[in-house]
Amino acid sequence: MANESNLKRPLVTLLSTEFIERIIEEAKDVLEKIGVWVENKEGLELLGNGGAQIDRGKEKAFIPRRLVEESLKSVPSSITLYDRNGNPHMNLEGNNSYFNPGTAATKVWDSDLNDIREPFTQDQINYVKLVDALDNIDQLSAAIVPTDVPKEIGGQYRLFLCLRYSTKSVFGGTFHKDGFQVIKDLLITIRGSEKALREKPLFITGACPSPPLKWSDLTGHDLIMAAKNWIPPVLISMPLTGSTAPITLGGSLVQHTAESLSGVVISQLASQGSPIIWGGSPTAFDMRYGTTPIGAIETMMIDVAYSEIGKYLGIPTEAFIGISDAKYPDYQAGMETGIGAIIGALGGINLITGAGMMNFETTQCLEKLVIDNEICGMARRLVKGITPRGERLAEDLFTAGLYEGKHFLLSPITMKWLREEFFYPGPVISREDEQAWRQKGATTSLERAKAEVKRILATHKPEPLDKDIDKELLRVMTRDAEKYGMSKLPLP
Amino acid sequence: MELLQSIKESIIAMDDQEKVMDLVKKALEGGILPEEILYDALTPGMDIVGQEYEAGIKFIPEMLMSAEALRSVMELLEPILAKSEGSKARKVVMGTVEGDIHDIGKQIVCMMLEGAGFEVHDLGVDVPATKFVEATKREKPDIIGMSAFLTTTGLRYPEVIEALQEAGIREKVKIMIGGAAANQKYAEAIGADGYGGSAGAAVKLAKSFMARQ
Repeated sequence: MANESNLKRPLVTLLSTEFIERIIEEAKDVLEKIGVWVENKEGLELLGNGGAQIDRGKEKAFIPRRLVEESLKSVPSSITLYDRNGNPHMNLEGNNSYFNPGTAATKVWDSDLNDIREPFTQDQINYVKLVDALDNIDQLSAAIVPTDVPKEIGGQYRLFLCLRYSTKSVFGGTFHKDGFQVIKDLLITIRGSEKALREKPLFITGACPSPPLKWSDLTGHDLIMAAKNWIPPVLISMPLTGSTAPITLGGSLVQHTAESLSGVVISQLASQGSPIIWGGSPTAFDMRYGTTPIGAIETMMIDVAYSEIGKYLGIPTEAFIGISDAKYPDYQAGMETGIGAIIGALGGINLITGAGMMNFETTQCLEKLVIDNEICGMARRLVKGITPRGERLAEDLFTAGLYEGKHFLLSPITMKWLREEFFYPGPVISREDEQAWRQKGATTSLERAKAEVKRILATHKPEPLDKDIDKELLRVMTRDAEKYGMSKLPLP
Repeated sequence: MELLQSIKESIIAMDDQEKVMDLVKKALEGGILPEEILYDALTPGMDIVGQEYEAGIKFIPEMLMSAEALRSVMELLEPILAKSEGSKARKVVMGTVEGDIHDIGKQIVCMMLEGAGFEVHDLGVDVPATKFVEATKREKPDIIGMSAFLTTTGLRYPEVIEALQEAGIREKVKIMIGGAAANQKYAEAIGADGYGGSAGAAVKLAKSFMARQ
């Protein structure tokens, strides 16, 4: 019988409670004394009415700590997401960790070309079908921005393709103020009503403050619309150390906390009690190249640390981690992604956004997705920890005969636990012996990943949508495309 | 000239603006021509800083410090440089396109261009095509540099180029684009004169435009 007090969920923490509290206090000072810029009129109104001091000329709000503390009281500490069929499939709370692919890629890596190129509708469709089949990727991201449709519909079009070709819930976003309504229409088509959508959310969106300390008109709008519609927004504060945020990790954490707290306040003023996710995409700005390395160890440290702060505040967390800066699916890609996914999982981050992504946060790669799926499998197994099994842990040793020159392979206990106790990776991770490996063609992991992508796309059949719902989704999407001059969507 | 050497070394050593200014003022008082200061001290000094940065010896903030010092010295020298010299500053108008507010990359490019001796007019962020046209008519720059980071705002580049064409002034400038929303192929497709994938690349491109003239 499993003794619950022996069960330990492995966790890594970087901050003491005192340090967390110090960062939060300083962030509150920033909000009170320095304030945030809010270029969205409604956001500024909400803050003013909620008790913030407003400088209309500068479009600034000075948020008193009292307002921050009140807002934190009404934020839900748990969010359940449901799949397309309405079944609960993700509980964002505590130290539950789930994985989804890196989102909003403007490029893809093409294995035939052996290079990066711009993406098309078929790439997003292939990606959705692939993720639908991968066991260790829990959720879809509206990952790829197809270039064969008007840019204005990019946000909603990606979601449309996700809904058509997979049953997993979606992390998406919009690039255009008008996009939000179309997204809502698509989601309501699936759920049947606004009420049903609110009760069983299947979509979360991004709300990105601009560092330092600013909500633009578009992102302010995104945040407020999401809050009002109870579509959980993922706050994606993205301090770049030493360039758009203080250079020290502690300093950037204060900025992240201040920006995120301001987001919480706006969301709760827009709709009290609405769900929100404490996320982010900070990076340790590389002072040699002026780039934003998502694979840097300090990037990962900031991710874990800000998630600790989110947990302390009782809010579900998210981070862009488990991504590589490599421009080719090579050792660097494996290294940075592997380390990131493990660190993210050990950090107890609820939503780990990154699989498949490389070249900073710009390029999706199907082969890398398949490789990362196995990395995520390792991470999932790690956080399950070591479960005490049986009255006596080593029951076999006490059973006469088994250890006297015999082996454990035939023990009934071995039979009982052999699947559950272990993660069996493959085909990317090669476990066969060298001879067998040679017989199979002495392949590299990338070659095996390519073959696996082809196999999945040829054989996996995602659950089809109800015909009428599919028709309606298509109608909504086509109508939106027509607004921007496209009369027929480039669908297969 | 010892003073010229000191000025050059001061730039390389990332001395603060005051120190460099003092040396420059001393040099001017001593009868050294502003052109000599520019071409025999400041420019070679900044070239070395640029080389050190490319070689990974100096990091961006360090390089920008030298560029800042140089910029304030240029403010002092500009009015007294001989006008006939062709030392007329090479002018760049920079901006992040409409709908886009990303500008850290552009800010680094602006500072590096100033460090390389360009006169830079930064229009800021979320700059509509009309404002680019206005600024071009007003400042008569040699180069226009545009930045965009989002997929959607990358669409704006052709709008600006078209607006310049309609105003009849496209031929008068070189256009360079940068940022994550573009690449060389796109630059060629829309009729821009070049693409810079990094701040260093942008400065090289700007210099190459001037060399051809």
